[in-house]
This record gives sequence, structure tokens and C-alpha cells, in this order.
Amino acid sequence: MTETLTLPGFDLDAPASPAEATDSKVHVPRHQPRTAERWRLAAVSCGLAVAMMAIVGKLVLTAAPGTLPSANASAFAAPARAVQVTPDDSERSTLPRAKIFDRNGALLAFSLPVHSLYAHPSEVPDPTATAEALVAAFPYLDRNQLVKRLANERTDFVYLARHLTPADYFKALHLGLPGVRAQKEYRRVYPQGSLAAHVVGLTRSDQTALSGIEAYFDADLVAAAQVPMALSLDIRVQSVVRQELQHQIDEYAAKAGVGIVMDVRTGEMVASVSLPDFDPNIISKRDPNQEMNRVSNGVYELGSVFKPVVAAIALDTGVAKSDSMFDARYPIRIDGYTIADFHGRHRWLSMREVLVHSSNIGAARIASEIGVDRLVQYFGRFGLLSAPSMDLHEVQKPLTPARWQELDAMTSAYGYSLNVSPVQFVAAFSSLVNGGTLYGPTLLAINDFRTVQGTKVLHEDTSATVRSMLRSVVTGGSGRNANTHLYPVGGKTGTALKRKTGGGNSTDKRISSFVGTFPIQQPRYVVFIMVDEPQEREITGRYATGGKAAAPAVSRIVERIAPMLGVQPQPEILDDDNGKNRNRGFQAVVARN
Amino acid sequence: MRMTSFPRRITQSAGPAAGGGDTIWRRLRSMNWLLVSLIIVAACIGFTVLYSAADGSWQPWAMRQVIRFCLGFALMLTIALVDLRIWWRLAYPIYGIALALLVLVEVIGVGEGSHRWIALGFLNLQPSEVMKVALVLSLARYFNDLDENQIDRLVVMIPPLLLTALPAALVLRQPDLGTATILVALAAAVAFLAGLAWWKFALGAAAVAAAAPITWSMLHDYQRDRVLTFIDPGRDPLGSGYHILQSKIALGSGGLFGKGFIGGTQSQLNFLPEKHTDFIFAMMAEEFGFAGSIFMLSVLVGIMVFCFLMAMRSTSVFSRLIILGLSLNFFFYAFINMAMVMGLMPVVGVPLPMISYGGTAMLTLMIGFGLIQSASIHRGGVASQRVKFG
Repeated sequence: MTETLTLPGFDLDAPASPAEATDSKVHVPRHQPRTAERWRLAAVSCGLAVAMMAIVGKLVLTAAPGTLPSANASAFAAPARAVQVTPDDSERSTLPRAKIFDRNGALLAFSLPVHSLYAHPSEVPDPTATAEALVAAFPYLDRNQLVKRLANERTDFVYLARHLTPADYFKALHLGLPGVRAQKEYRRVYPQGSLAAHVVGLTRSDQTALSGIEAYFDADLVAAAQVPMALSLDIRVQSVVRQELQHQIDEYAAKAGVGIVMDVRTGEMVASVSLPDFDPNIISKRDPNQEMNRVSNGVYELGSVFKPVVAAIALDTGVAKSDSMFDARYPIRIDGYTIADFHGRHRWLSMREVLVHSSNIGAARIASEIGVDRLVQYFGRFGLLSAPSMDLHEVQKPLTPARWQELDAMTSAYGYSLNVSPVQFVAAFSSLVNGGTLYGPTLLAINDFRTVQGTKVLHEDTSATVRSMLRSVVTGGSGRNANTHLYPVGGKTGTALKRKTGGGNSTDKRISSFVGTFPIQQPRYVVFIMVDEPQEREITGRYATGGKAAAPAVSRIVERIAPMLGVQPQPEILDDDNGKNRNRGFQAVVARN
Repeated sequence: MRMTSFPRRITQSAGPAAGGGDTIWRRLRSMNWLLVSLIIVAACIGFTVLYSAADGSWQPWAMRQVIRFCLGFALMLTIALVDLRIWWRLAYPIYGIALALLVLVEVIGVGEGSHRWIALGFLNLQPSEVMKVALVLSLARYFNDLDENQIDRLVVMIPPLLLTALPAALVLRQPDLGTATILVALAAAVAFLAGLAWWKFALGAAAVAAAAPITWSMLHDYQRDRVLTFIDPGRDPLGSGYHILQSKIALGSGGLFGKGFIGGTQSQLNFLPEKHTDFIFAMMAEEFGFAGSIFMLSVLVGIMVFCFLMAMRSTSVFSRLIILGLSLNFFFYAFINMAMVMGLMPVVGVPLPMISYGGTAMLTLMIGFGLIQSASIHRGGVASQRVKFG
């Protein structure tokens, strides 16, 4: 081995020919890597060992029994016991929960006293005979399962039958089976079934609350005082909204829908419907799609229903008046996108006309005039940039652009790039029409509306002008189908194309909605209907836009609920396109009221 | 087969034709069969868990995984029997092909939001996985061919840096931060083991630390979200944090001996997401408990130990770096996956090697083991029959 040719550890001096190599073992030394490289190998091995130790250490902390701090987790760690419920664990089922009513005192949830049969297996002399006697009395029980439970010596408590009716309970007592005992329990019952399921919520068979009001006010409901809870819902209105929304979903073969009626003076949710829904009395079959409360837990790009919001900001900041003109002649090209109109007018439009004809170009120009910073500031003031504070755990925070660019501001003007939950949109919209005060949405009944504290977000006259423009949309624009004869409605249609996974907008999947308020002279309620993926079908005419798929439902809902809610029929006011006159007319009506 | 030119540091030695002594049988015998059996054990753990994941059924995962493993096993044997010098000669061409595939995936790639796969009909090929093997091969060849006296010159750093940076940048563009990081880490490990000076790595680490704020600003929102959720999974319990929370519940609920085969509630009731792929470890821990996890860990560690022993025994730089680089690739899979499932790292979507359901990973791992075996059989280029071990 000479230094010029070879280095320690490598076979540079290995035999020159294969023949030599095979001939002589002496010339083929088994070199090991040189020392420095061994050190490196050792260093890497140490690194790997440390990494492995970290894994094992973490595994010991999470997986090894006895080291878990929370009681909940340690129940998981004892799998043999977890199958049977011990009396201690089921304490909740033996205590009644407080009743839940709607705003008029209609019962929505209560705890029904029932009896459950249980046994201490060690006290049962003959498991088979006991099981057979029970099955003879209650044929729905499974004999083999009962035998298995009664013969189980690993536990000292087994349930035999849950939630017996009083008649069955007496029948069981008369069997006189040794070792079989009965325990008084409560079962949560929802008399209205699926009608208000998302709001009221869901409990397990042991009365553990899972969702809705039940979960949010769990501590209050289990409290010994048993104070009944009155919700803001009016179950009659809820029923109408659900029926009409279901009608639209069926007619347009849609996927889902949302319907909200909100009292604009308080933020109370008079109706809150999310379809598809579920029957909370049947919890054996659970479907996440049904349990999803789309009112608060779904976020959507809502489309053109956002235009009034941006118009209000423009009015409030003094950027524009209702008759200010905006150039809607040509599509806007920005950052590689094109903002175009669905039914282009190809001329300059006043702000009122931007709303009436639902011009995206016009709305984008208005947003651009307002400027990104002020627009975002107002969105924040309307509560559209953070999760709505509600009496529910099922609340989703909005999806906002990470950094607001000019393009985001422009597209948000017609309801894209900002994904909000329907309830927070409706709350914001209420502040547009109620004189400019934002109330947080609530599901609890409020006794006196004057006690509610709101936040002033807009000037009074901004709100009046917005109302007048919303009325124009219904009398002469895309929202004609929302009109009624007796109760003047103002509102805005919205049709948003859903975003495709991977980018771009879908061409046939849309969110069609209508947001309206009545009576428009002095609004009391906001009605919002959203239909998720309505299909364009022959019988419904060509389009499944907000004006077709959602607006007619709002019209029918208003006609049906206004009498229930004690809203007086209003004579049709004169509609013309002169904003000034209308404003004066409004003031006159408002003053009369 | 006559080699046209030999590298200086792979020695001329008995090739397949030399002396007539080097039969396929001899090569098979000198394979490290203990390593092979550990690989089989690991795969069997995978089959068992996949069988359980489908609620006690061979469909839809376990049977396909068995078939894939058998194909992979055959591939491994074939690759192992090929003379290492052929792999030495093909190192750069293979790298070229892998790089071309990475460019191709930009053009015709499929995948939601990111382009990572090339659809081949029977298999969705992930070129970035192929690149891991190709990068180790080409770096091993480069350092093998390099004159030992030159290793401390700065110029020699340029080719390996280019070899690494090109694919890493392409993978980063897909965007797949996890795989890009693994590629860089693999290259760094191979260079370190080849004998590059310490201070160069220190410099590199410092550069990475300095670049971190800039990288953060370039990350996609979903990537930042993952990092933030990693720091605090409770931040978004229904969104990005959901995986980790469910996975931790599964891990914690297994106890010492688990809930039993097909008995895991977290996984059987579908609370655990991706239970048959990335989060299979959590499912295994739930059903087989702490003891089962430790057994599986031992098998994976055993595979690493055998590979390192084989590396110690090989005398050529090429074979040693191949073994170390490819076994580190295996280790990175295992470590990142387990760390991710246990919440030690952000969720990056790396499968558990040999156990998770998936085709490309299984294929590249078996190719890797084939190359490791080949490097071991032909270690140092010395005729295999001369060295007895194992």
C-alpha cells in the first residue's frame, strides 16, 4: 500500500485481475472503513438512537397505562371494564335535565322518568332461567346476550333492559326474578322531533349532551334548580321555514339548505333551519351530513347577497350615493382574473342599478373606490371576520383571504373570497336595515327588546338608503319573486358558483340564496333562504339562481309568518326609481308607525 | 460482462463471470437473510393491521398489500442479484430519469391542489419517491469516484449541491415540503458519512436557521396551518388538529396490551382518519397496545441495525453509502411517520414503511432493500464468496 495509490481502508490495491482475486485470499484484505468514518457512522447512529428514544419516550407517555392524567383517558385505558356501564358512570341518567321551551312555551325537550333493569351477576342464581323469563315477558330482548351478561363474573353490574315504560316496569316487577333490580332513570325526549334538532341538540341515552343548546348550556340544564330554558325560536315559524325550504330543496333536487328568520331589533333567531336534519329521539343511526348545523357551522361564499353590505359601506364612508354612477361597460381584468356580469348592461350604472341588476363589475368598482383597508375594517365591524359569538359550540370561523389584495376586495363585493356562516351574514344584514345597529345572534328568548345592547355600526340614513335600494331590487330587479301583496319585502338575490377543489369555479354547482327583510319601511324581521347546489331542471325553468331557487320561498314564508308574528299588513307604497322621493316616503311611513 | 471502465474505488474483482465461482446460488446464500426475515415480519404486521382496519376482511386493503409485497419481494431479489458495478454504472442515468420524471410530473401530474403523481394506470407513480433512491445512488457514486485527497476542496461540493438542489426545488414546487426536506436531509447524511468536513455542515445548519423566517413567509397557508396546529392541536380541533387529537386518543386508549385484534374503537368506529395509511401506527397501538408498538419498533430498529452492520463491513465507499443512504431513507419514513402520529411533528403525510397501505412507498422501499442487499453481497467489489458472515 503506497500513499499515492491507495488510502487506508479501501481496496485500491486489490488484485488487478479477477483471476488473481479468486486465486489468492491474501491479496483481498477485508478493509474496514477508516477510523474517522467510523466516528461519523457512530455519530449518525447516536442521532438515530436519540430519535428512537424520543419516539419510545413519547409512546410511554401517551400509550402506557397509569401515566394518563385525565379521568376520561384512564377509562379508555381499561378496556375490559369499558364495555359495561357502572352505576357511577351513569349518574347523569338518574338525574332529570331541565326542560327547554320555545319563545311561546311550546315544549322542545324534557326528561321522561323511566326504569331500567339491571342485575348484579353474582346475585343471580340461574342466568339461563332468568334470561328466559325476561325474554318471555319482553320478546325484543336477545336471550343469548342476556345469558352472557348475567353469567359475566368479571363485573358486578350489568344492564338488562333500558328505559322501560311504566307498564313494562310493573310487568318486570311481577316476574319476581331474584337478583334482577330496577333503577329509576331519565330519558331525554324531543316532542318536536327533527324540527329544531340542530338548535336544541342531541343527548346520548345516558343524557350526556352532545350538541346544540343541550351541550352549550349543559351545566345549567343539569343544575338541581331545574330552571326551564326559553329559546328565541318560534316553533310555528320554524315549521313554516322548514317546510318551504324543504319544498325548494325537493323542487331543485338540491343537496342541502339553510333558512333563518331573525328579529332585527334583538338578534334573536326566530327560526333556524338546517336541512337535511335528523330526529334527536333516534340516536342509533347518526349521519354527520344530517347533524351538521349549516346555519352556524358551515361557511360559504354567499355571492351577490353581499352587494348591499358593500353598498352600505360606500354610503356610510361617503364614497358614493345611491345615484352615483359606476362604469359597468366592460369586464374588469385584474391579476389574471376577469370580473364580468351575468346579465351585462354594458353601460354606466347608478349604485341603485348595480344592486337592481346585480352587476358584479359595478360592485367591484364600488369596492375599489372604498379601498381595501376601509372595506376590511367595516367587514370586521360587521363581525364577518371572526367566528360569531353564539349559544352553540357548533360555530365555524369564517375563511378569509390571508392577505387582502385589491382582487380580494373586488370579489368580496359580490360575495366571493370571504366565506362566512349564514348566521353571521344575517346578523350583519340585520344591521344594514334596522337603522345601523349590530346585535349578536342569540338563541335565547329576550323578554324586552329595549334591554338589548347593540353596537352602532352604520349611520341611520345609510340604513334608510339601503332599505330603499333593497326595495328596488324586489320591485324592479332580480328579486321580483320575493315580493308579496300585503307585506312589502326588500332584499337581494345571490348566486355563487362553488369553488372546485384544485382551483377555479364550478360551472354547475352553486349556492343560491335570497336575503330579505319585511316590512321594508320599518323592518322587524330578516328572512334568509340558502339552497346548496340546486339543479337546473326542466320543470323549474332554465335557471337555478337565487331569484328562482330561493326568492319564491321567502315570499311564501313572509306571507305565512307575518300574521303569526303580529306584523300588520302594509299598503303597497308607490315605487318609482327616484331614491329621494322614496326616502321621503319612507320617513313618512316610519313616522306614522 | 466486461466493464468498460472501473471506478478507482470500486476495486476490480471477480465479476459474475470470474472464476466461475460466483453463481446466483452463491449470491443468494450471501444475502443477509436475517434482514430479509425482519422485512417479512414487518410486512406481516402490516397485513394484520390492514386486515383489522377493514373490520376483519382481506378486502379492500390487506390482499392488495400482500400482492404488492410479493411483487416487491421478487423485485428486491432481482435487484440484489445484479452486480453492484452495474448499479454503479447506472447511477447517473437513473438519476437523470428520476429528474425527468419530476419535470414531467409538473406537466402531466395529477393530484388535488398539488401535482405529485403520474398516473400509470396500474399505479400512481410518485417521482419524488423514485428520486430519493436515485439521489442516494448518484451521491454514492460521486463520493465513491472522488479522490480522497480532494474531498476537502470547496469545488467538489458543487456537484452534490446541484444534484440535491435540483430535485429538492422541483419537489418544493409541487408543493411537497415534507419530501423536499427528506431529500435534503438524505443528501446531507450521505455527504456527512462520505467524510465532508464538520464545519461545512455547521455552516449549512446556520444558513437554514437564517433562512427559516424567509421560508415561513413563502409557505402556503395550509403549510403554516399545519405547523401552527402542530404547536397547538387544540387550536383547531375540528380542522387540522383533528387528526392529531384522534390519533392521540387512539394511542392513549390502547393501554399495555391493547383492545385486541379488530377491537379498537377509535379506528373501527372511524374516528381515526387515514387509519390504513398514514395513521396506521395509532391504530396498531390501540389494538395491540404498548407491547405491540414496542414489538413493531424493535423490528424497525432491527432492520436499521442490520443495515448499519452491513455498512460497517463493506469496504467500498459506493456500497457503504448505498447501504447507509437507503437505510436512512427507511428510517426517515419510520421516524417522521411515528413522530407525526404522536404529535412530535406536524402532519406531513409520510407513510409508515412496510406497514402502511400504499404502492409507491412499498415499491421504493423494496427497491431500496434490493440495492442494500446488492451492496452487501458485492461489498467492496470483492468477490462475494470470499467473505463469510451472517
